[in-house]
Amino acid sequence: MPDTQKIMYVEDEPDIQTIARIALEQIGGFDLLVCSSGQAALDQVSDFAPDIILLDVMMPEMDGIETFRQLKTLPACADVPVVFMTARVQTHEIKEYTDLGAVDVIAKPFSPITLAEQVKTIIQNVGR
Amino acid sequence: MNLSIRSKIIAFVLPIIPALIIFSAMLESTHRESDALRNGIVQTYEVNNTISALLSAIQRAEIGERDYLIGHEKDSLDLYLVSVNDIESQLATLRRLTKGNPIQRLRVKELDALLQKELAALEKAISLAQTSPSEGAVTITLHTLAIEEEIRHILAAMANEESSLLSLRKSEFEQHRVEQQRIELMLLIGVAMLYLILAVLLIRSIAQPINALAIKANKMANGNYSGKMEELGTDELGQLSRAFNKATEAIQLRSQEAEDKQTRLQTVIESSIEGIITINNMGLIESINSMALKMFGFSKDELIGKNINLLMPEPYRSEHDGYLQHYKQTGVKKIIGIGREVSGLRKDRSVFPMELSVSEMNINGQQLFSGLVRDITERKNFELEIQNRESRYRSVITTVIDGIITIDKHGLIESMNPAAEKIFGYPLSEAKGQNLKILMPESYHKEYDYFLLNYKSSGEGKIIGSSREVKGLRKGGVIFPMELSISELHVGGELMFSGLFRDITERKRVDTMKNEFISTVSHELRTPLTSIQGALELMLSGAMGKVPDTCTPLLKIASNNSARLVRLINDILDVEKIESGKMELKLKAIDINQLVEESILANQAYGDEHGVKFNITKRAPPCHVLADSDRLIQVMTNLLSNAAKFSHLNSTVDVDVQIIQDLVQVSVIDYGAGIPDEFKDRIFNKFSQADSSSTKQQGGTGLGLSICKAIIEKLDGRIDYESEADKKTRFYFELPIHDQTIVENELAGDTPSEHILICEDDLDVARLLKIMLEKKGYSADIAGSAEQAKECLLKKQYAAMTLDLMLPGQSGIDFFKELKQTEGLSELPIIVISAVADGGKKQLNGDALSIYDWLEKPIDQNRLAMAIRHALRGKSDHQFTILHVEDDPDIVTLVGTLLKGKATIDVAHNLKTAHSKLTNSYDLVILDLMLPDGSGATLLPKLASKTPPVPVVVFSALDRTEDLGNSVDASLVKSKTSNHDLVQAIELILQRHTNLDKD
Repeated sequence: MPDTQKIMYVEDEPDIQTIARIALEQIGGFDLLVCSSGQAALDQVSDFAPDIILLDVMMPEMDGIETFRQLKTLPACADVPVVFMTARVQTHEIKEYTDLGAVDVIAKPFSPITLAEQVKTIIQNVGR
Repeated sequence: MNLSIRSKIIAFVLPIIPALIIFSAMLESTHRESDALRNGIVQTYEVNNTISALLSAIQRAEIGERDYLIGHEKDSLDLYLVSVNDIESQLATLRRLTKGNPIQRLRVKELDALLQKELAALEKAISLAQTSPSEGAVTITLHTLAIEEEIRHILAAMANEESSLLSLRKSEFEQHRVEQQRIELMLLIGVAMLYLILAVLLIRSIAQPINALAIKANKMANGNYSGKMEELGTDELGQLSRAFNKATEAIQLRSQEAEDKQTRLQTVIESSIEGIITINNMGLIESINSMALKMFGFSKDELIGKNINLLMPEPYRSEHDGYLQHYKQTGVKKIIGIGREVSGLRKDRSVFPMELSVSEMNINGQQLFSGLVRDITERKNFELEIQNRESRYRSVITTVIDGIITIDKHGLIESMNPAAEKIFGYPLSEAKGQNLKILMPESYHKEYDYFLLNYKSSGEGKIIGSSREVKGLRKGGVIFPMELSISELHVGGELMFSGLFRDITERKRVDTMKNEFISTVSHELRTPLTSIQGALELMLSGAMGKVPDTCTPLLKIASNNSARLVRLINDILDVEKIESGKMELKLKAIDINQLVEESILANQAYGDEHGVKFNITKRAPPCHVLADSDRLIQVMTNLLSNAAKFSHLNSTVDVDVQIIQDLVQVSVIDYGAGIPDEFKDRIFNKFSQADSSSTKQQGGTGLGLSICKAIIEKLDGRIDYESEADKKTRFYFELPIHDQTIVENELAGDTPSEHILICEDDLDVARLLKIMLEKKGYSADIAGSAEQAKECLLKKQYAAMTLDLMLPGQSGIDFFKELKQTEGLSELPIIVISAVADGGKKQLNGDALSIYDWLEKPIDQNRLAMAIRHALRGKSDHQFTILHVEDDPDIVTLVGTLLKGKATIDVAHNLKTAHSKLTNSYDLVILDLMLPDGSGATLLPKLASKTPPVPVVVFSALDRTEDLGNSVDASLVKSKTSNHDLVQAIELILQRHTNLDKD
């Protein structure tokens, strides 16, 4: 496992991107690639080869669910754990994500202070 | 005088009898005297006659003799001979008659002598005449003349004598007759006088009282019953008078009764709420009661004697006389005996509807008709009202947007309203008489059949009265969602069902839209909040460099409020879920103490912010509740944060967990200001806080308690609070305890705990057993040998004993056998714990039933607890205990009957009861799937989570074995299972589980 873990964060909202950057890059020390759309993520995922993908659900054009499906069709990220990071966290919605194959769900609003720790824990759990 | 009338009469008659005898004797004697006198007279006459006859006979004898002498004719001689005989007989008569008269007797004697002389002479003359010439004879004859003269002379003297005697006797007789007549007269007078007296006396003693009776009777006849007859002694008259008095009283009573009856009847008639009128056969009113008068508005005088048709409007008025006439002629009745509705005419000429029934009566030969009339104006109005209402209902039913269908008890469609026709696409003409199944997808057909069948047999239906969502089938095959509520009707004694339903396709669509909207809104709100809160948090954390001190409080305000906004959004989503019934609970057994501790830990930070310390003041004995832990923590968080918010700075909030019967109660107590009284009614309502300023000040959403209430109630619990202003406020919730073990332990803690004796020579093992038992709430004593055990058993009452078979001294097996023989200890439940349990089993084979359980070393703590529990339960009841979850009372009765004597059956009619009953332990659960408040299958996880899992037999109309998988021990379909199969299956499962427990 390389020293710096790579996170791909798919999020269309620039303000949240900013917060997440601080939380994950500055506080968490991750190698972070932020994609503003599902399509962008699909385009870059193979080159970037993230250790984990954080995926927003409500996005224009291609939503998180569809992005997830398409990501999973790519050999490069078939085994990459995906965490949904969304404000849509009603019980049935969470069930939908986990049924799809998401390893975890982080609810918005998230705490930027603890976000990095949260992600680390998830990576550890998945790796084990 | 206390004599009977007969005695009286006898007393009157008796004195007359001797008088009569005396009189008779006197009469007899005078009669005898008069007879003697009469005989004397007769004798005198006879003497005279005889004298005459004698004289005549003598003359005839002389004539005969003379003639013979002259003519010698034989006839003369015959005359002579006859006369001689005659003379002699007359003479004898004379002699007899004069026997009593001496003078006459002498004369007869003299006469006799003379006659003998005479006759001798005559005889001589005749003899001479026959033999010789007649001279000698003449001489003799001459001689006889003298004798003859003498005879005549004597006879004359005799006759004289008799004549004088006769006149004497006649006078005597006459005198005597007069005397006799006098005596007879006197006698007659005497008797007459006696009878007169008797008659007077009798009249006095009989006739007078009878007369009095007659007078009284006449009075009575005239209706005067007053006064009693004086009693007339004790004789028959006395009896008669008493009987008469009695009769009088009886008659008086009857007549009083009759009068009372009459009065009552009169009162009834007068006070009757129905009008009563009697008319004669001419149609004239004879009587009329007050009600009738009131009804028609007349006074009595105005109507009596008037024609009844006065009270009738046309055309009844003209018809009535004809009707009466017709009845009199033909006997054909039109109203008599039948009630009917007619119209009545009041005095003020107003007409009103009335009900009339007429009956005919015949009183003393007079034909009368009585009519019962009732003003039915109100009823008519009511009927009209009902008609109006019905037409209103009808119009509602025909115009309502909900579909309404009625079906008969066979499930065939009877009626459909236009909405129903429109929804399903069938006109009523096409659907009527068809099975309701045409309107439902096939998946519902079986359930529908079952419903009808079950309803017919038990009169119970789970879907009756409740509203539920089902699928409908339109003509053409389109399936659509609808909401259906069914109710039962009885129309003319026939069972029917009516279904009210609404096509909820549109609502469903709107629902989906709403859900999406809420989801979207919450997302749209949270997304900017994510940025705001994230940014604020980063600044406040100092990660972005130091924030000037003057800015920090402002940043905190922004951060707190954005956090509050997030909570509000979460709460709104929760409320929406609760209200739409979509709140799903992931139920599992939760250790309540642990959950409370975790909640406190999680909220202590919040508490610290308010300077409040959470403090557990009481813990319950280990116990579980069946709940969704996230939701329960949500409740705890809410209560704790509320308590912290409303506490004073640097105070404590107490949390106390305790068991109350079969419930666990968690209380959160703060010592703040308390809840104002006016707020108490709506504290669990949405958006309610004691005052809106506090909402803002305290950062609450006003939704928390309503969410708590919804969650707790969904968990079959109850939430409430009590508050004393400025003292303390206690919010508490109660949930049913999930496992029974804990309840037993709790009870054991409250009551003197059950003592268990451990008979074990290995001290380490014994201590281990003791710890295990004490952990489960029992107290335990250790005995190292059979001898010590006996001492303990003498000193204390033990609920059960564990027994090692390998003991020093007396062996466990011998000790066991000895105990079974000992009075007072033979029933002690014994759990054998031994490394050689199997061998012991063989040795104690015959006695195996007296042993409650066998445990082998090493000992499993739970097995031990279970064995003890079984032993203690078995002590009071050796039978299995079964919970039967079933809403059909017939099935309950059937199963109860089948398992009688084999098991004790507890019944739960619905899921809710089943849940609360499952805090008890059962050996088996018989489960129906279709219960009024949900599917029985939802009980399965709870049953499986029990230690040990409770065996389940599903006994339902539905064949759902595949769906239920391994969680049930047997699945039996009601219609396909015989009684025998059911019993066998249950017995088999019980046996299997018992063996599992033991082996």
